[in-house]
Amino acid sequence: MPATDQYLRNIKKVHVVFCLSAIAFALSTVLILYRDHDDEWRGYQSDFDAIETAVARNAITAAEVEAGGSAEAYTTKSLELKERISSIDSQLATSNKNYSELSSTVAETARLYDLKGRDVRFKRADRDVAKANLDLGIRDAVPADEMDQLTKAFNDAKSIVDTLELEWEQLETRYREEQKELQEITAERDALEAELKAYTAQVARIETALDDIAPGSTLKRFKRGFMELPIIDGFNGHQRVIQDWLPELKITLGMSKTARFDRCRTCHLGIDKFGAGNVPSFPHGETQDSSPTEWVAANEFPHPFSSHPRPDVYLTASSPHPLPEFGCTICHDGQGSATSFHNAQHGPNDPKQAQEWKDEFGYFHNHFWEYPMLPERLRESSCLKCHHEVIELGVNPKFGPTAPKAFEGWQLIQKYGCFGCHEINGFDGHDRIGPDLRLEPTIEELPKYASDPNMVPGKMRKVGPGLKHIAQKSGENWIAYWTEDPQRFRPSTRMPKFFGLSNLKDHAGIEISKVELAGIAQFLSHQSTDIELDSPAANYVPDAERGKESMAKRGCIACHQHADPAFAGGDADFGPDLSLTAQKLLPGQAGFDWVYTWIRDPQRHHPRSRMPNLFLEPVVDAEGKVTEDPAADIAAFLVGNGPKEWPAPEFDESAANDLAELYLSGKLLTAAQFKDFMETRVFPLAREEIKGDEIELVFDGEGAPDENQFRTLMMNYLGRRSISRYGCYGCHDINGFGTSRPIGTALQDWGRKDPSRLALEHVAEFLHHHGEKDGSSTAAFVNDALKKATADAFDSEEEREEAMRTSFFYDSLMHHGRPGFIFQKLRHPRSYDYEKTSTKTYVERLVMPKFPLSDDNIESIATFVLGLVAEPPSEQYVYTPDRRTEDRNQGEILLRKYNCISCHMTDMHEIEVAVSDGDQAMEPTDASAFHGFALEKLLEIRPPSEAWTGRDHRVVVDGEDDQTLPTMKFRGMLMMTPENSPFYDEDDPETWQYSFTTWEPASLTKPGSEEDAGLKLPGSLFVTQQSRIAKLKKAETGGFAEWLVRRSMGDEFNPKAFDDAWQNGPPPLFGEGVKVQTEWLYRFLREPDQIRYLKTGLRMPKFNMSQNEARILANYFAAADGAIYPYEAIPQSDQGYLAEMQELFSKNHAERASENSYLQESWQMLSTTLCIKCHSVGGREFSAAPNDPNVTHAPNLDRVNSRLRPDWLSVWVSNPKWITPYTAMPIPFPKGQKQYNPLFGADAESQTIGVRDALMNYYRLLEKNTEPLPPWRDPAAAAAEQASLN
Amino acid sequence: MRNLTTLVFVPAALLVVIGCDLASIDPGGGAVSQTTVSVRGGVDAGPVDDTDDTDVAVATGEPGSLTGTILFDGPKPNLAPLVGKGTSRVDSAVCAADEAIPDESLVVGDNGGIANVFVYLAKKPSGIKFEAPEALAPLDQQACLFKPHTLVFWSGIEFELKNSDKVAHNIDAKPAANAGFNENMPPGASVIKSFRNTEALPFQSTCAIHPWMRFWTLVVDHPFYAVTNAEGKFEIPNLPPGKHKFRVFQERASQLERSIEVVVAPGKPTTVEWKYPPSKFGL
Repeated sequence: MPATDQYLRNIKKVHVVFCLSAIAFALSTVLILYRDHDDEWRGYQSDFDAIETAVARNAITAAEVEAGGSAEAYTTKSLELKERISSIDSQLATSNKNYSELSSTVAETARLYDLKGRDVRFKRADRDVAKANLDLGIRDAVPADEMDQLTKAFNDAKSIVDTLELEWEQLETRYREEQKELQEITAERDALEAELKAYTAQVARIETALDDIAPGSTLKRFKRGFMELPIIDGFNGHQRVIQDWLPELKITLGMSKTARFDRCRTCHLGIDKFGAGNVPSFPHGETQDSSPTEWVAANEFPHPFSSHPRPDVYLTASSPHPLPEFGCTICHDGQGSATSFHNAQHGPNDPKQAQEWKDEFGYFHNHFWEYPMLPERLRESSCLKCHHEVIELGVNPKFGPTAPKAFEGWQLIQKYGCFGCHEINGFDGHDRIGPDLRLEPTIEELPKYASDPNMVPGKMRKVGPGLKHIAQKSGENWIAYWTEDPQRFRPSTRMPKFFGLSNLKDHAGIEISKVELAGIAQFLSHQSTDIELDSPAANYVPDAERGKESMAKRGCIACHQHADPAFAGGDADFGPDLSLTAQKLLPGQAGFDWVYTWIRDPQRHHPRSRMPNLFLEPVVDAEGKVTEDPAADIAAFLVGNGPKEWPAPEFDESAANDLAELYLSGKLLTAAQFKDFMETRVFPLAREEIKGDEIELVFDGEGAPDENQFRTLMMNYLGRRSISRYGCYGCHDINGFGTSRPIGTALQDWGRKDPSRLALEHVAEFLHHHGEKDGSSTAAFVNDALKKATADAFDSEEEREEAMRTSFFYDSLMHHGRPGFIFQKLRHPRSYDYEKTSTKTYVERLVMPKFPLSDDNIESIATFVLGLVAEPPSEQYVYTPDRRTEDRNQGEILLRKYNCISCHMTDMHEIEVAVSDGDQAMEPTDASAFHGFALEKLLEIRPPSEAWTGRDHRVVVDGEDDQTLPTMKFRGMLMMTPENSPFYDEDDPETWQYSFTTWEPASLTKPGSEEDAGLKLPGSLFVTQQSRIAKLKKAETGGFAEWLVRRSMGDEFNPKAFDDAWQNGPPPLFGEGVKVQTEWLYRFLREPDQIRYLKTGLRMPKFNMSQNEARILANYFAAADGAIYPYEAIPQSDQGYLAEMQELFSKNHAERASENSYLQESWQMLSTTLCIKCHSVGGREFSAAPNDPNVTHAPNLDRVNSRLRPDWLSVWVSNPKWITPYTAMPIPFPKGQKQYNPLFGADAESQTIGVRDALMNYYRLLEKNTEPLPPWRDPAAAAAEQASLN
Repeated sequence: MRNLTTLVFVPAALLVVIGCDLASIDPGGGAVSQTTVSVRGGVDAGPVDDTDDTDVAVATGEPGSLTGTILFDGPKPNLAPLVGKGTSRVDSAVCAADEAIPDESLVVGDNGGIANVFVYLAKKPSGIKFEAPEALAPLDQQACLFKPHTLVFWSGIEFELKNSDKVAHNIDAKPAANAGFNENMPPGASVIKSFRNTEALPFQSTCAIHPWMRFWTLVVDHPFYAVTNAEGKFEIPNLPPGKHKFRVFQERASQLERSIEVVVAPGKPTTVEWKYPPSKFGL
């Protein structure tokens, strides 16, 4: 059909429409271009340019000031130099005819030289070709004529090159001569130019850098601006997305794993900028200022411009997490590929921040991104992806605690035994997937582990006491009373509360709870078996008062507390508080014997007890009568006024029947069977057919049980069934539960649990009405907290943090978040049953108990649990320490497991003091007063630390001018403090003093200084004013040792009493690794023998430790101190060494060599002179009683050769105070002291070495000297005596 | 009374012999030591800096002195010897061979005076320069006893420690403000030591081989101190007149007085008598 006018549109209209749509399209194209180009990050990059510009300008000013004293002076001087140069130039041009002539000659020669050079290079190439052809000809043995040709070609080319090279050389010489001539004329100007260059070098360098960001010339500025335009910017513009590609660090997106792209640095531009010494170039600060110049002036930068904290740990090349390898999102989570604030899935730290982000960036909670960025409060979670052993996050000699919150969560889980119900399996087969917290196998489970090599057994012990023999300790009434509400009896208990919680407040809840409590008490007594109990000697009368003293001195307070004022200040909570022990015991001798046996031999009661054997052996006199039985005394003190009467549990029988019906009817039995059973009392199933708790219902006697027997059976059953339901066996050993599995959800991947599977039920409603400690509404609290936060109306930062924490987790819960769920679960475990009790039967209700945890604790636990994701990255990213670090880490775990760190200091106090010239702290030790070889050994086994910190401290003293002084740092022992100072005067700051004794050598030489300022050797004491102390970091270990010292020294510091107290307390283990032989330590840990006889009676207890644990601990000390292990050499007992020493001895002490061999002389030194005055040695037994105050009972020297490392021993026998400043042992053979003549010619150094070698060859010498040698006597005195007798 | 612009001028050459009456100290229990505790100290005539806060409120006038007696307010205690004659388990040929080792922790004279009590100005009076003594009395070890039982050293001045016994001893010095030391001392040995700093309280030194042996040392940097003699008497001469705060220390009681105020009259002795009950000494 042909087109007609009707068919065609009005052409004019069409043109209009076309025009308008063309304009619309053009505009939308522009809009698209604009919107596409209008990225958030471009703004940040521009801002960062402004920051860098301001920084560079400041740096220029600083460089100018540094060069010239002030910016003005700098400008003046550089101008002056320039002027002088130009004036010389013009002067030369006008007044020196030669100059212009010479200049052009030089330029001409230079030009000719260059030209010639080019020729030379070309001709050399020709020559090289000819040479190569000739070589090929020789190789291919070409005919002679061809060879001649090739040779000729080469010779020709060579002669051309030689000629040209000669000419070139001549030109060079000419150029140099002419230039020299010219330089003579321009010498002054050249010098000035060099001066100007040096003077302006620093400034020029920064100016060049600045010119790149903020160009000085308009053209450059225009070019830079032009390059920022849409599309143009695609051609290598300076604004661009910065991305880190991490192909090995995969991210799970949907169902697949893919390489990770982190584009975070596109906006976080200063994040990896650090200056020399890893100092952040853009330190973070929540500044109120809004312009880059202000930030630079304050040196505080807001996000996203600030540098990452802790560059020693993160991002830098020298840190363990360099940016190019780790990127950002592996730790922070969120969407790394995003380039906008919101898409990156930033996670607000509290709802207040969320509100601010909403206002500023349009933030909203995005359900669709599963793993948004971790908020600050939960940030440490992700460390657990790679740090499976956790310990290194809390205890780290290099970095200190790097993830203290996750570490605390880990510790709390161990402390409260969460893994008893919620297994955290760190293994998938043998592959490590995360932290591992599982119960160790029970005796019943051991065969299963033995038969399956693919099963890795758990390591954790049950945290509660064993209940297999509970009937010998407590009665049923107490058990019921305790179980109902453990904190009511002992407020400090870790046992959670199961009963009386919010989902048990209805009638059924109350009545059936009573049945359960009675049943549990009855069943626990019923399952209990007897162990043999000991009693003190028949005629021994225990002394409670002495028991109290023993309790303090023998180490009980290292783990336990007691309310008696005698133990004031002892705050250990490793074991239970013992204040009310008496009340729960069986009355009379039974209760006493139980405590007595428990104290004497804890393993008898519970084979896996963490309580060690303290060797509280009775002291027996010559006639065999017990004069002191510390265990009996302590038991007498603990039993005190005897047990208390506890009410018998009461319950309604119908409630018991109801409970039985809930458990049995319609389950193991049909409803009819159950009815029949309740009437006939005969359980319808035979014993063999029953696998579960119903076994308790089978009557063993003839026929049917009578009414009472049936009631007993039924209560045993209900008790046992309740124990199964509550999972009591997760913490306690109970007979019959050896193979029962933990009842709770496994947590190893809980951090990735699908939030849709979290049963939130009516918790929002609960929190609307309840939820806070006082029962008030959490929702209202949060609402109020947010208002307060907006108005900034909190009284303190702590209060704000508390409120924001609650608000954060509440908000998370409202968004169905995992963090909110776990927080609420631990805060109010049964709140998820709110308004559910009407639809749930009693046995369907939640059983999670309530633990005595603070919100702070809960947050730590949440941080840990949320980090359990079971998604280990590829192997190279998983923290795999070297052998030494691994041993140290595992050792740190054991030190805590057995609470070694309560008795023993393993770290020392650290003090940082401001010093000025003449201070005692700055004074080096006069090393010349000591044997040189010993000092050498000392510095080998304890390398000196750097005393100067490079930091300053502002010292403020009343009435004096403030002064800022450099600081020094030392490790050692804090002695006197203002609190214990006997002359402290509140009004006199001069008396606010601290004294400190160093325990390790410290170099006093300033880093980089050439002047040797000497060493401060261990055992140096200095006193410092309080105002001078920049930092005092108390040791985190050895709390009990320090408590015991304070107790025996009294409130007032007294150096002698202080040293005495330390000599009689648990020794610090600082440097233990370089002291003892690893193998000896292993044996000692397994079977500790008594080394010292302390006045306190204290000795190393025997722990319930496996061989492997003892091995790890023994290795730990060597690993921590950098000592060689597990096998160490004892060169002093090698034949070669001894032969060498013998030779030296014959040479240096010829007069003695005729009488004694080297070793025999050493033996005489050891066994006849000084050592025997205090030590048992060479069969001369020390005869005095250990507590005789008039003798010093030092350790027997017979174990030295197997116990001590020879280098350590060298130091010890030379100067014991270098090792243990408080020791009573004197320097036996001081340098320069002529004594014990003629042994070793009375040379103290030879005597010292001799004694060491005699000790290291002890048994060899003992075999040769079966009779003790006669005591040494001064030959002169002996002769004089003889003469007087004659 | 704090007008310090005029000052007591005392000839610099004046030699002050502390405790002329204390020349011989009875350490109790019989053996009489011949050792004298004499310290020379000169008071320099320099102007006093009156801006310095000091406990010594010096008045104008001639120097005075403080004499006094420290008395035991109870019957003379009878402390059992530390080691009975001939019962020592260590070095029995020398230690307690002829006589028992007395308990010198509290020595009370027949007049009730307590010996070996330190009386001293706790703080060096500022603005007055003192000339340190040229030599300090040595300490000796005889018959497994330190002689004397109490003595005073000056900071920075060397002193001698001797062992006249036929057996080895060691001196485990445990000061609070100085580095301690502990070296074996064979028979006849002698060592020279010095303390860098003053000590706020006398401190105890012992012998590790013979744990009953002990002596007490105060380290000072001014001459205003004394140790009581066998009758409990002491004298601190040459004191600037005015108000002074003294510390009184006895080894068993520790600080009998932390800071006792005495106004010293110019040009004449000021006498005090301080009496302490047995409870102060743990009796």
